[in-house]
Amino acid sequence: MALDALLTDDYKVDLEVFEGPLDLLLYLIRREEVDIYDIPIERITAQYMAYLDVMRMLDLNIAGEFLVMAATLMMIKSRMLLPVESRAADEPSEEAWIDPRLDLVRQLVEYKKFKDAADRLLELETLQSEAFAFGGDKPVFEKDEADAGQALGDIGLFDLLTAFQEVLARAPMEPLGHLEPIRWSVPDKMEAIGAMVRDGHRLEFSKLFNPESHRNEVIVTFLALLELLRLRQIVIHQNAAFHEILILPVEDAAGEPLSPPVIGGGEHVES
Amino acid sequence: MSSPEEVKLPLASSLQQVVGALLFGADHPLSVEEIRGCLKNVAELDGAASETAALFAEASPREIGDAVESIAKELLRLGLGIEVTELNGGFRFQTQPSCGRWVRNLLKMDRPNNLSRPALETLAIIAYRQPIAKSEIESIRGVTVDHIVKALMELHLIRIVGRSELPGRPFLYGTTATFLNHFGLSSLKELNELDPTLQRSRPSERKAVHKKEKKAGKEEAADEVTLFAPRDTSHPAAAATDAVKEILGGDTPSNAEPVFDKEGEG
Repeated sequence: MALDALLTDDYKVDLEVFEGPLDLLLYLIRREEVDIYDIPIERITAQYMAYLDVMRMLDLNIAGEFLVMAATLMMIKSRMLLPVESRAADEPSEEAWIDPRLDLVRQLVEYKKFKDAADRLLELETLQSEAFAFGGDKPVFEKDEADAGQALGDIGLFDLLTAFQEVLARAPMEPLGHLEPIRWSVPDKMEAIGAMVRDGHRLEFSKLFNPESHRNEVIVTFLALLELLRLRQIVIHQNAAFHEILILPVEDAAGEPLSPPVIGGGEHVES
Repeated sequence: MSSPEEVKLPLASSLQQVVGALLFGADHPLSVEEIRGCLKNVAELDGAASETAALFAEASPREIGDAVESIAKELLRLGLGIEVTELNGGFRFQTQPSCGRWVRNLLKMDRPNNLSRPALETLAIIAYRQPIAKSEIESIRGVTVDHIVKALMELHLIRIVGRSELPGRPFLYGTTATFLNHFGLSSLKELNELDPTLQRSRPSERKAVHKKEKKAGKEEAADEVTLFAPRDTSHPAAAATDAVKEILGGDTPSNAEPVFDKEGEG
């Protein structure tokens, strides 16, 4: 892929993807505001494939499950294309026609319930993390211990990919057969983003890219962003679902941007 | 100067006073049973010398629970920024979350990171469906959970509670006491009441651990104290400790000791 050529110094962003195909489908269903019990399978499949393409383009570690789900969606889509009459005519005496989406819907609904339960756990966790016993002694774990899939903070990977897709769509296409010299590298872009965030404190995702940015530059910039996230040199934040993504310096995310530096480098106080 | 024995201290006159003092003085969440044990101890030691102590020793779990509850209500009414909470079956005083911003500043503590969404989802599945094998978690989430399960184990939020009868006898995972503490839960029962529909409904193909859990749950229900239940024995992690020891031969899965040895030698 063209990406290999872009990454001059063999720079590969190794962002672990903890979200699966069901997460992507639920994300699309939510964003498109469609009924989970009546999924417009053609539209959702097309979008699913578009996200898969972006993930492939970025060379993310795509789990095999994403491909299995792609096949499942295709199968459902083809079955849905059979006209209802012929389906009925084929098996007049058989049991009623079974919606090919049924199994998938069941799985999605079940998973959605656990996602909602996770929301409530998050509320409980937030509440309890603000309650202190006598002398402040509390069972907390160290910051970097709470690590599983934490790199993206409170934003899902798919929100980021959506934002990326939008920028990429605006980027001018390179004329066919035109070879662009390699002018951007991930480490350079990482430095540039890091500097922007340090100076400007917070940065809107869309401001990362010039309107006339070259396609390759957009991709490299985005990879640099992912890498900074993974290394936890920046954090991202989104005020509400599907809103603009903000890029913040790490200290800002600690929730106390205005307070003076904590004595002892912000370490936990022994109690 | 008079010796201490000669000074007659006035004794507390209400059970609520004593219970409140115990909660304040304790260094960990106190269960009703622990409070009761303490009351009985004192009565035994003081014997006939103290009628009051003997009277308090008679207190039923229900009465102690009521005392805790009325302290909790009173604190709420007075608005002192302190509340009584039940953690893993024990009670403790803690500052109200709404004051956390200031307490945190005073103690110079950073706000801890919340767990990530994928981690919380995995944890929710384990919490509601325990004991559960990794493959079952994966079939619900639709993606592998190796990393996340490992991270949750390292945080002591989950633990291995047994082995499935399924081929390959995979490990079964359940939540820990740390889990209850971290989320401010009194028991798994409280969690299940948040989302009653999420519990495993189909009869499970296994498992001694599961049965034990249910039995303990019934015992608890039989006990009259409802709002402030005594220490929850239904915790599967506790119930299954022996089973795990048997499986792991007493070793922790992380097996940290040999590493230390090596470091000591080198």
